[in-house]
Amino acid sequence: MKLNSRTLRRLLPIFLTFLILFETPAIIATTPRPQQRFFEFYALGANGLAGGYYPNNSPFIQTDQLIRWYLAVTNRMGSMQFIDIRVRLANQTLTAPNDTTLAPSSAPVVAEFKQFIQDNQTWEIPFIWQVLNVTTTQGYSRILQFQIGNVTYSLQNAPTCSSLSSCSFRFIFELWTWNLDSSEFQFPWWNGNEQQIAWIQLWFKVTPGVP
Amino acid sequence: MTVKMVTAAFVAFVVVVLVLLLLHPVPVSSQSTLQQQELSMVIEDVLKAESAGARPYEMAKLVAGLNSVLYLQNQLENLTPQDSNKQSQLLSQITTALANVNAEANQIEINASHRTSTRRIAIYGLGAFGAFLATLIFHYALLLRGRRRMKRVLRMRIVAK
Repeated sequence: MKLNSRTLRRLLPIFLTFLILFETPAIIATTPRPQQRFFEFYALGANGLAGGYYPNNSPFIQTDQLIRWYLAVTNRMGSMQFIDIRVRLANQTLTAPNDTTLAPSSAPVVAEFKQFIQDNQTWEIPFIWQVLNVTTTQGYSRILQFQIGNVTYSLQNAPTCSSLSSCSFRFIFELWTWNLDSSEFQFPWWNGNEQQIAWIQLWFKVTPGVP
Repeated sequence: MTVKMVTAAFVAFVVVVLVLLLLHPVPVSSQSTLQQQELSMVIEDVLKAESAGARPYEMAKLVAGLNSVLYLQNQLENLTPQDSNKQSQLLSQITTALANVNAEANQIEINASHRTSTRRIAIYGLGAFGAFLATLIFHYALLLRGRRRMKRVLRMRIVAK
């Protein structure tokens, strides 16, 4: 049966209606949906669990005692990310990163770990460390030397404490991400119109002997 | 007398120029800054490939290439100034690795954007074909209904009451 022009004119609006009905799911399927962008940043203990961060569950750490932590970052930003984890050594008085002003900690950076992470991938860093040398001069104690992995770090301007037994030190781990526009690492990242930061801190006390 | 004055003025001018040059050193991009800019450009290309629709295994390859550059840069930073041979060797390795990742990212971007546009055309084409098929079914269904009605009318009998 042949379709005449009258029939075609009658069928055209029907075809257009079907076209809209069929193409709408196609457009929805091919348009990327807006998603929440974030990082999962966490530290695990020696057994890879959220616990057992210190030997004998005591935050008192002797010099030359090996401490095993695992840091992990999962990228949920929807694209590949260039990450820099900045490790800072602080005492009780130095400021931690500020979640309101999004400012990083004022403590000195002692080590950095950089890596490219694919979207939805996790990067795990074994953070195996020990305090090698502690000194007390003019009534103030400070960590002179410590080791992370196989690298020994000598500290020039390490934070001080009035006494080893009363004062706590802490490692602050900050998550910095690469900014393409400025070609440098930035502390806060954008989640839509909102800026966010990620950081962790783990406290410890240094003791020359068994507590 | 005039010659002496001209010579003194010239010497003074040269001294002033030299002092100004010393006070305002000409900014020269260091090797690491250049490398950082190069790295930034390569990252941009990799991200373009990803947004064009690169597959996870393709991205994994590019990410591995970029991480190998980081490994080489780390080795370079830990070298002593005496290892100049090793330094130039690592620098050339970094440049080669970056160029490889860049070339691969560009190729993946071309393939991915081609793949994405083909997929889109197929999906939209399928939608249009579905609409055409539905219109035909609708049209013939109406025709069939019309014929059945006509048959029913023709089979009717006139019964006198």
